[in-house]
Amino acid sequence: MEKDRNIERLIRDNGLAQPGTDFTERVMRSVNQSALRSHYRPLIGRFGRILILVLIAAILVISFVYTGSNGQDASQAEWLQLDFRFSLPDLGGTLLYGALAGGVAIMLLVLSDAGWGKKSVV
Amino acid sequence: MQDHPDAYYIGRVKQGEKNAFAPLVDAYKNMVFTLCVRMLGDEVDAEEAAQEVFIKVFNSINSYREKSKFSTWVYRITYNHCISVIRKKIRVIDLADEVPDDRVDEGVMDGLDRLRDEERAHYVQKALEAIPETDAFMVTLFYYEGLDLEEIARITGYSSGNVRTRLHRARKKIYEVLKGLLHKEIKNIL
Repeated sequence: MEKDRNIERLIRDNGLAQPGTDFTERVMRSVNQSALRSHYRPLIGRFGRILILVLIAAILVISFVYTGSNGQDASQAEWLQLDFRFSLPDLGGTLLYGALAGGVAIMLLVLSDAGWGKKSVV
Repeated sequence: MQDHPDAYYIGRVKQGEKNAFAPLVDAYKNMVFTLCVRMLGDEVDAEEAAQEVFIKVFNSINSYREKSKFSTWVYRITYNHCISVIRKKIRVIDLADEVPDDRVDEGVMDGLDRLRDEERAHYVQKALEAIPETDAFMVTLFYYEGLDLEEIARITGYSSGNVRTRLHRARKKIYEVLKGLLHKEIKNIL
């Protein structure tokens, strides 16, 4: 688009409006009062957190299924040869594994600084 | 006056050095303030808006990617902020102003050339106030800052065809207003 030279001359001759002389100082005062927002980067990404939750859920399910009404514990499952027997006689298997899973979940949330309510600043 | 290009100060601000933002404010404050005046039509409101624009620029500088010019990015924030200020004020923007005369009146320019500088500036200011805010914003970017249609389109979110139409309409309206003001002046003298 071709410029209208007359209008251009008028606009240029008119110059720019100027704010108050202390404009920059006022902006910088406001800037210094407001904290510089940084990008929020969780230690563990979304995929990692989902994976952890799935693992925790799996542990809970296994602990419920294999230490349920029939008294069978995880160490007796044919497909799982790990020995999960702990020497804490007063604690049932379900409670023990549930407490462990909960503890791991809380620890991971604290370490990842994720929290549930935080959103990333873009 | 800036000793370094914008990118130098932007980098330092991103690294957390707040004071490096001051040269950027100095470099763009007149244009940002002028654009706010064009949009809001009031210098007090414009100064407040310009200040808020720079605070927004500072707070979101980490999201600035060097894909576009820094000035383009700043002007886009300016435009969006002014639009939101206008919406808050619920000002009705009449975009359907009909301008009957499409001819460029050279007589207008002759008349203006005979005026003193202050009078001419006053008339130009009046003419800019008479056109819709967005059009005045575009006129300033096009004729003063020398931006092309594509850049103005990126800043305002309009298509470049729409920008062209608005600039054309603004030009006609400016001539019409100036012509009216000059006629009034001549009548007053007589």
